[in-house]
Amino acid sequence: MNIPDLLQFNSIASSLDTVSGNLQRVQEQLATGKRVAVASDDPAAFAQAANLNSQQNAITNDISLGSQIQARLNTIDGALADAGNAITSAIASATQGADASVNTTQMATIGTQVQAALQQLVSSANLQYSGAYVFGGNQTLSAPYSTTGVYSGDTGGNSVKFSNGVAAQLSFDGKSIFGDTATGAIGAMVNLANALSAGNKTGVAAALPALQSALQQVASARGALGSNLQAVNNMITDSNSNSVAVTGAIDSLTGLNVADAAATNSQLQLQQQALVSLASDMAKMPLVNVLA
Amino acid sequence: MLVNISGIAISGIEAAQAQIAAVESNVANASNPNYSAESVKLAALGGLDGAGIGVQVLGTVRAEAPFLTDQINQSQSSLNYNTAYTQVAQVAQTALNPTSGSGLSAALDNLFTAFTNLSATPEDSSARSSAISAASDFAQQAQQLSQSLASAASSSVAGLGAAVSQVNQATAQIADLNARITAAQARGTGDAAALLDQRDALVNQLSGLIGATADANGSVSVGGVPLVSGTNALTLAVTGSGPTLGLQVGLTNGNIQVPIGDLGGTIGGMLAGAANINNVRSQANSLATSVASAINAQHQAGYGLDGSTNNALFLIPGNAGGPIAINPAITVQNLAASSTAAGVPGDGSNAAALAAIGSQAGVDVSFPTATAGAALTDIESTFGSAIQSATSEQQTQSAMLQSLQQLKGSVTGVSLNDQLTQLVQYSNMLQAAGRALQAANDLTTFLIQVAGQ
Repeated sequence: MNIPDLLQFNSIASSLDTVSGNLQRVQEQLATGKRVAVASDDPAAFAQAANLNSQQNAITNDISLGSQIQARLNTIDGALADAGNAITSAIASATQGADASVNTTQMATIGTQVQAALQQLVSSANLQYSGAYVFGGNQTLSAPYSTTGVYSGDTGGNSVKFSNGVAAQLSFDGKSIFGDTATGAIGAMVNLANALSAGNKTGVAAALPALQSALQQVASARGALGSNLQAVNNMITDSNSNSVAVTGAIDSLTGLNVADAAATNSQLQLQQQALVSLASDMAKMPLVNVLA
Repeated sequence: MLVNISGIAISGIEAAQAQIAAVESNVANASNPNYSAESVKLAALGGLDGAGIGVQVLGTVRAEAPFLTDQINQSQSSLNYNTAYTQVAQVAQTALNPTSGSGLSAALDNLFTAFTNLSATPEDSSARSSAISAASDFAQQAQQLSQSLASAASSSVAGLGAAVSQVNQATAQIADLNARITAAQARGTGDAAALLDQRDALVNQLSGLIGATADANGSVSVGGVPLVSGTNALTLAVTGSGPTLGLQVGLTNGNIQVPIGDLGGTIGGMLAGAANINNVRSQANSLATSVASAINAQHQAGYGLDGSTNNALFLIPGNAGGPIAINPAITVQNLAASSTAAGVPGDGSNAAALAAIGSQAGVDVSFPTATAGAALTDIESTFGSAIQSATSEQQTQSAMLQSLQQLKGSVTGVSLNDQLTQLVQYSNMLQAAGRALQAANDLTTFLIQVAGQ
């Protein structure tokens, strides 16, 4: 086929355009480290990567929120431990006060200690975390217990659900854990303190099983909290693993194989040089130059 | 006999001169892309006894490849269409997929994350502020995307008026050339070849501009609507704007609308790009509106810290066409994180329900099986696929056009090597004919001398 000179030059120019365009694209990819920057680069990979990015955002938030909740639950666990100590102290006081050798004056003194333990228990039950009361049910903006142990919270309990479906309870019905002036640990300690101050050994003895039951109630709440905390810990561990896997998947979809891209870059540069050289040589080739 | 030798030699000289002239014209136009190589058509002159008595120059003929010319015009139309489409669509894609990591997709993720965080600490003013801020950002990103896409659609057809003017100029020139070609062909002069070259170039330009096709007589049409009929050029005009943007041709008995879907070339690409951008904008607005509506419905069912309820988080235009906006009446106090009546600040269940909308399929009824985020990704990737296809088609057509031009060039183009070879050949022919004339002259002189003795 006899190809006119003009078209041969046009052909070289067109090839040069194509090679230069490809070279620019590879160099952009090398600069950004990404093979897929916009949807048109690879729509299928872009769509998968976008969904994975969305998952990654949710995982990152799960880890961040989970860490905050870990701290919150650990603080709550500490408060429950303190409450348990207060009840244990009250049990010791009740045991001591019920002893036949203790006189009424001594019982009154022990009653003062029980009052202090009661205040410690109320203080634990009025735990605040980041400005929110955690044992008032959903009444998180006011202290759930008065100094005398009157409960003003509700029976609600807020929880959060992470993206993988794991849920963690964050606020609790204090009355079901600590009771109030008539029930639970607080009720038992109020009764104990009253019995001690009145020198009523029968009343003191009667408070003991109620306190032991209340201690069991707090321990049970602590156990549930521990499970809650464990679920959050596991969620964070899983999320960290998932984050690594998702990041890897995103990289494999949109990332650049630098070695391949560098090789392509060299190849395209060589092609570009060859085409420029060819165009230069073409100018010397027509017969007119040979005949001249 | 001697008279015949001189006559034959002279006709040979004339033929060689005509051929050399054609070569000179070809060489002079070697870099003219619209030039078709010319050659001299010769015919043998026969004597009464059947013996040849010379050669006759019948005229100059132009190399033609009508099938390839049509193919080139179609390829040019497709190339320009896809080039224009890609250019306008890439501007819109930048708005749709900002590389900075912001954009509607990120705003959507952040909004649902903020609701999740709010559900954990519903009484916390910073969590409430963050949720309002995320909602505001979502609305702003939706507005910005809508505006950017509207701007991209508008700017993609900014050159339409100028392109239509070029079409009208070209059709007027073709109509004029049609008249001149007919006259030149009737006269039998050689300038018809140059006029046909000019017309071919203009038809190619029209193919590239609007995907027009021409018949052998130079009548031009697009999508079945005539642009040039013989020696009459019809005026193309832009009609409407935005989604109703179109083209019409003025006929004597009224205007006729040009079917947009049948357009090719740069104008077809511009209009198709603008239409697709408008479609994506409509989808994105619809999605943002659907998400805002779903969130509003849930938010209105909840209660704020101040006990208020039935407050919309977003303002949605009456026509639901977007763009949405954050309700300026929403405050940290009346943001409805609680699903319980007033006075339960620690209840984050409504915030949790708001967060759950993010993983709910069919929020936008156009995407019944997809979450809002997946629907947005679908819109983005579908648009990206269209750009990728156009880019691929652009590359294919570019290569095909080059190949077709080479094929046509092998028939109609000027090869300097070929022309120089022919020049040597015709020079030799001229010299040979000259020598034949010289020989006839010498013989005549000799015979006169002999006759004189």
